[in-house]
Amino acid sequence: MNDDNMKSIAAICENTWEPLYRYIYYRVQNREEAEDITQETYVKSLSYSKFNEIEPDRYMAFLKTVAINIIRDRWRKSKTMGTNTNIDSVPEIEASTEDMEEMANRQLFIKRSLSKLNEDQRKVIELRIINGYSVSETARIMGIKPGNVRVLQYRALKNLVVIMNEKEDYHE
Amino acid sequence: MSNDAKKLSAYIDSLNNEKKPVIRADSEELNRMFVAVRQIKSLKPPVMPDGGFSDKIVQNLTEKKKKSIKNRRQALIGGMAGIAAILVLALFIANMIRNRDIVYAMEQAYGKVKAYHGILEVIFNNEAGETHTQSLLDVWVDKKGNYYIEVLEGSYQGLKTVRKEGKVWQYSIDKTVFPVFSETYEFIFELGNEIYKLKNAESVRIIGDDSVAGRHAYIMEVTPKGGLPYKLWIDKETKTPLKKQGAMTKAIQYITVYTDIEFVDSIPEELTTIVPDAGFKEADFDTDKKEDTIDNDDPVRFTPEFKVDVDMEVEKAEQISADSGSSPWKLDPVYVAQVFVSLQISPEGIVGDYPVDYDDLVISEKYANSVKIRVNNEKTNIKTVYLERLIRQDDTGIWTVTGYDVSE
Repeated sequence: MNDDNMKSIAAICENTWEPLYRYIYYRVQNREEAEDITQETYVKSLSYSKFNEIEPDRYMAFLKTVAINIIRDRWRKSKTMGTNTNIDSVPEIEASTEDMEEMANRQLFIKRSLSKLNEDQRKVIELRIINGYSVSETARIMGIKPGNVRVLQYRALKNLVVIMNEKEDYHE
Repeated sequence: MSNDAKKLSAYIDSLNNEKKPVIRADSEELNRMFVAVRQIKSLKPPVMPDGGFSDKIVQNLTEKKKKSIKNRRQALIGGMAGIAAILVLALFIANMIRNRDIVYAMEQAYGKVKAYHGILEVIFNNEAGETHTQSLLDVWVDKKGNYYIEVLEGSYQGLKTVRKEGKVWQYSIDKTVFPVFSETYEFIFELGNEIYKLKNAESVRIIGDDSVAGRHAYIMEVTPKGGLPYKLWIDKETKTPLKKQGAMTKAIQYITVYTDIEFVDSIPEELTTIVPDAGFKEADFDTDKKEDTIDNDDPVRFTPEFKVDVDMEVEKAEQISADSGSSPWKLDPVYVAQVFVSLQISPEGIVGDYPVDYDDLVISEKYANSVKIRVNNEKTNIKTVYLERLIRQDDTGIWTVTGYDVSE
């Protein structure tokens, strides 16, 4: 690989990594996996023999397509290993980020669903998932035992899944 | 509390810690909850990589780039050496005081602990730098020597081990009792033990700062007396060990990390209530060993079809490592044979689950210091593995593969 190629690769990465990483993170919701998949996306994309034929303004679309295929592959593999991952949830999220309005609607939908929970259930989800507190920190803030935090968050999410399904059925 | 509630909590912890979740959903309902967790988290802005991520991508893409960056870094290090030398003496003195203070603070903090509960992740790295989670454990420990350990994820999922009043009990879903933690093997990441080892180590020094499970931590390098150095991450706030990284041995490096830990008054009564009718069996590991062993003071030498070259210097180092608690699996001949056979199938390193299950290996003859193990797995042509205690001939001696047969 000559210096010109190197510079060109560095420029492509510099200009595209951030939106690509955000796109991947939105699906996997953890930094470790998002970094791995971002790296793998570049390795696969830039080793594609016809990458040079892609117009620069289509780089992002191409990288996103490669990324979504890597995510699907990984989830499919984890499914064969016993993880019951819902692969069908990928295109649904994909559509929501392709369209900012749809993404905003999706977030509104989640917030409205959360508002249907009782106060304790909403609070535990807010602390544990949105604020990222540990079980013991959440227990301290809520004044309950750590074991009860786990039970409460389980019941909250169980209810939330029902609420979200009902709402989706209603929208359909 | 249901197993699903624990799994869901561990899944949330993984995402909160910005780690790829290893927990598996065994049901559609739990899977939907996992999807819901991810959707809720999407309300937050993403956590971005550290600075220089773009450079890291480019480094990975080209070996040439890697080398040039390495050279640049070396040049930079060379230029900085003079300045660093001036600072070394002052830092050395300051660090000695700091290191001693931290071990003392840890001892004091642990003195106030009655019991603790945590989710312990056991991870192994192979030589290729790939990381895999071997198991996820729900751990309750008190300072009276009692504990409750449940395997949430991994090969022995569902296995519960309870130590109460000096006796160890196990419950296994598939009725196969396997000693994950025995009296011999020493519980791999018990906080009290770790602090005791720090106090008695040859040297302890802080080598940096890091974040573990969202908590600020010191990284300490610990060199045990006569042992290999290992790293320990200490929570800056609670002064308790959170993570331990052993030395790389036989292309495998173990990391144990508490992804969540809380201090409690005691282990809940219901966890340590033994109901033998419900499937709990008393596990007397010492008796099991003696029953298997044929008493014979004379060394028994097997004559395998293929001999394995043994580097005694490496074995000595591994014995030291096992003595310091960093490779307890070397004391289990079946596990050593499992790793050996697995590495014959995957010489580049073990990726994911071991290609040969622990249950595929059965001890067919066992003497005080030699053992013959039968391999029942079609992925390998190895039918029998022979092991010996080459370094120390007692229960604390590590096992070494000395040969194998490929014919029946």
